[in-house]
Amino acid sequence: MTKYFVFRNQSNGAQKNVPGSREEMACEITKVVSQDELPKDYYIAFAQENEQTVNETLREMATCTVEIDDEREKIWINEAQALWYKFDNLEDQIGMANTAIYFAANDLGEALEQSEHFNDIEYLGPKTVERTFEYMDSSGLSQFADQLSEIFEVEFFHNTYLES
Amino acid sequence: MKNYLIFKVDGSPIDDDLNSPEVIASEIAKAILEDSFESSRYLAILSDRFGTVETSLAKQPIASLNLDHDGVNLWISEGRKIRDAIYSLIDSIADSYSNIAQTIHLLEDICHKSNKFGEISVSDDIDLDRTFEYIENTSEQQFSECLRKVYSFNEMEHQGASDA
Repeated sequence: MTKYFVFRNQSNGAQKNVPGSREEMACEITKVVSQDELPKDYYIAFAQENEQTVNETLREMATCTVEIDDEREKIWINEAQALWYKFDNLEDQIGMANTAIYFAANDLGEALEQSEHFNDIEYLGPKTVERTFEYMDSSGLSQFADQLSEIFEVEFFHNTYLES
Repeated sequence: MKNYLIFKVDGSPIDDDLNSPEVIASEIAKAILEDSFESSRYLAILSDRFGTVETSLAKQPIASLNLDHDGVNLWISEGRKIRDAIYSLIDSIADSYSNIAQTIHLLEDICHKSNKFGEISVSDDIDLDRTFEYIENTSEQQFSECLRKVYSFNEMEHQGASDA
């Protein structure tokens, strides 16, 4: 079992996780669990070489820790990653639906308001569209994030998880 | 004020002049009948001409409506734009529902096949049917009711002809 310390990557692109590495995996898991839409190299991770070497300063700087071993790596690769992509796809679909319906409703509202004969007709307001899609945003992702957090024993520091 | 008889037809030739009273009368009838299917075709004939020139049309009219110069102008300046905006909203809602439902289905399929994430239920989290009920007002029905009054639309009793 190896513990990975995940940090906000402040190297301006100078440092990146090796693609396919467990470090990259730890960062992806962090992004899913935090449920934030973040760029690819937003986090960078380092394996804990030796438990005794982790001093309090390092803990204070880290966003979280993620535990990965062979079995958990397989869970991520064989099950969780595909699910994450699908959840991401669902979020995109919901976002696109929100935009398309919002603008279509807005166009109809304008056409009705500019009309002399049909301006009494009620129409779908953009605020109703916004509220409806806000309600849809939960989309099961929180269940997935909770389970991932449990499996990979994700531990956030400084309440960053709660603040995000 | 001229009275037009409305027929539902299959694959009738489209009049080149989109602003002719006959084309406009057929468009208004389609909007009043809330028939947003692109393939549906309606034909309008001046009631004075029915039984003379159009004797080859072995069908009964499904409705009639009154149309004068002002009615034509109202449709061109306001009605058509509102109709297009309503159809666009209907299409946006239908496409959005279909895309999200399909993604949820795929997502749940992956969840059900998973050992670790089999209990996640996205459709419990997103009640898609209930959610879309909040945005079901496309104004189509109210627009139809207004048009009925403006154009003195009269639906015929013998509905069998409408299926022809």
